[in-house]
Amino acid sequence: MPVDAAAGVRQMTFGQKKDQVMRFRRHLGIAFGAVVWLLLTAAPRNAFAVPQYARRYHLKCYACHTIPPVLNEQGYMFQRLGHHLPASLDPNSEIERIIDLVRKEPEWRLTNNASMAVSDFNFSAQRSTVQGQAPSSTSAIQVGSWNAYFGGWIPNTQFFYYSEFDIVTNGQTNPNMPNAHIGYVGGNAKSSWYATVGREHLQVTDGTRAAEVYSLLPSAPLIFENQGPTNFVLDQSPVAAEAGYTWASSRYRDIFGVNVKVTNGDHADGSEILTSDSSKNSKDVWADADWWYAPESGISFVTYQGQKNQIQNSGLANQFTYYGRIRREGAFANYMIGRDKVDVLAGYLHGNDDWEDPVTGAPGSYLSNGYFAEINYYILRGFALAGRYDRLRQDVTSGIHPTNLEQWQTGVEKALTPEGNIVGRLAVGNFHGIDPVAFTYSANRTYEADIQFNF
Amino acid sequence: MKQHWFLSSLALAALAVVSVFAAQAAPPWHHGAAKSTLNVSTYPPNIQHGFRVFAGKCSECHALSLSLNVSRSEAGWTQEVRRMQDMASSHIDDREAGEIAKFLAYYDTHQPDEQNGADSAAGVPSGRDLFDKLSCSACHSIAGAGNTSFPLDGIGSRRTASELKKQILSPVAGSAMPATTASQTEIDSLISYLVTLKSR
Repeated sequence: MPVDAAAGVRQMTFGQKKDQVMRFRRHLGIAFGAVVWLLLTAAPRNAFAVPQYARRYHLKCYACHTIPPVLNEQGYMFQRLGHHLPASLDPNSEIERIIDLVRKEPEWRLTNNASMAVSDFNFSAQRSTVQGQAPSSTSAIQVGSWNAYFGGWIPNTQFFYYSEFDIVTNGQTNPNMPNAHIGYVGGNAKSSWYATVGREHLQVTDGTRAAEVYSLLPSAPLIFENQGPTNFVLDQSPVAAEAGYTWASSRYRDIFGVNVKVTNGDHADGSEILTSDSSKNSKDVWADADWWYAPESGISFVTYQGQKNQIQNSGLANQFTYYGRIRREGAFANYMIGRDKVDVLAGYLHGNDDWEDPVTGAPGSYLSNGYFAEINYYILRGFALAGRYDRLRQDVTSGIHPTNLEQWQTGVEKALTPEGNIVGRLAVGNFHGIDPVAFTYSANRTYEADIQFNF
Repeated sequence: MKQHWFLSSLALAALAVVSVFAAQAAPPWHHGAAKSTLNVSTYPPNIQHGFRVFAGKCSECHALSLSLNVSRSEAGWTQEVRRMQDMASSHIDDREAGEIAKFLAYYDTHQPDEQNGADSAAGVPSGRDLFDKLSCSACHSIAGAGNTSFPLDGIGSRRTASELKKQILSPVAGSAMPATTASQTEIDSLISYLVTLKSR
């Protein structure tokens, strides 16, 4: 080994440096593995190492979720009360004010305000068929999502905050912050109101279980996620100002909630508001009304009225822009049968958007009518079977005829810890249908196994 | 290559932070963890049934030790279970609420010595017993027991352990609160009990 006598420092050959790098990498790998092993073995069994809200109140995930992340009635109320635990509504007792709920909060700590690793690891295999192309099969093992949350309350005040930092989404490292808002809640445990400003993942409505984007299955219903020819998706995270009111009867037998949100911008996701080139010349209005009735059943109505700049044939010689109206109206309901055993869910969403023919620019409309029906069977606490059928009928003025998209999914989900913070799932799904503009047929069969960690 | 190292370092750092979180989060959940498994075979059949209802219903949302570590009278437990019954997403009916309250009240008065208060093994009475022994009940009440002029129900939500300690050791001048003659261990045991008295 050559030695630099003057400096007394050993100099390494390229090969030796490479060996050292490899050794360091191996050590790093071992350290990484050891940390993961510690997390998977020690922490979940011995501690309620669940995200911040559960840590705050010493509760299990099930206090607010049927199986994470599906919210139950208490989880809904928790959100509406500015992220404070709902009080008992005894008809014979004095109703607590929101400030009383704030005073009951434990000491503010970083551990009860932050969750560093809400992540999903998955294996998926799919076979895709697109008209005019050879079928293809793909499979992957990946970190499906990795999100960090910071949410809680400003001590001794009725202000609350909530932010979500997505590090990995759909297997891609794509840092994004779909939630970053601050709010104020007033009133009392029975009759309360709240207002928030900031960026917010709208999750369609803030509503009852059938109106939630999140479900027991890997994919949300088509009516929430389908991007029609007007490039509008209901599930989005715009910058918004929101206000809501909630009223609950004694023992929470009935809960009524309404809210209105205004999002401002040319693009439905509000993204241009975060940049310097915003013209801020549109107003998008969302409203929804929810009624929960015990036990755990509910109905939600939602409407969205907005406008967005639509750039058609982007970059081509015949590119044009129009300022179309987007309209959505929907109703969602679930009914729980047999004391938390069987949940029957259904939803309907109607869309009526302005539309211009991509070739001629002739004005017209894009109509959509979508629905889904779903059954969840909770075998035990934290163990459920789920199945859903989706159908979306789409029609554009210049189209040859209306077309349909259909999807079904079925799966089994099981919490792997008593606290419910680690959940495993197996699912199979099938999607097929015809694009309403291009009139091409495509189909996709997906098999998925995933495990979700909440720390 | 640089990106690879950056991501590896980021992942390692994040997981290290998570480990710290997990470690920090652990202590509050561990108190009385052993009480999650109880031997109730010597209890009367109706109380054993109450235990099964308690174990089934209450464990849906929280660890059983969260209830078993708290001492209340039967009236206090009836009130507390009623409060749980009136929460959203609670699926406890009136019959079940009664059975749970009966079990918890029975457990409170019949638990083995080693489970009766954190310091029983060291010869220090439980916090609830100290409340009576130190004559706190002359001026204060808990769940209706004692002098109801100054109830301590919910004191754990209004005062921290250090505030309670300060009030006991150095009562506010001019208040009727007397200076205590209790030992440090007794005061600590009493405070450990008082902080569990959360608001309704």
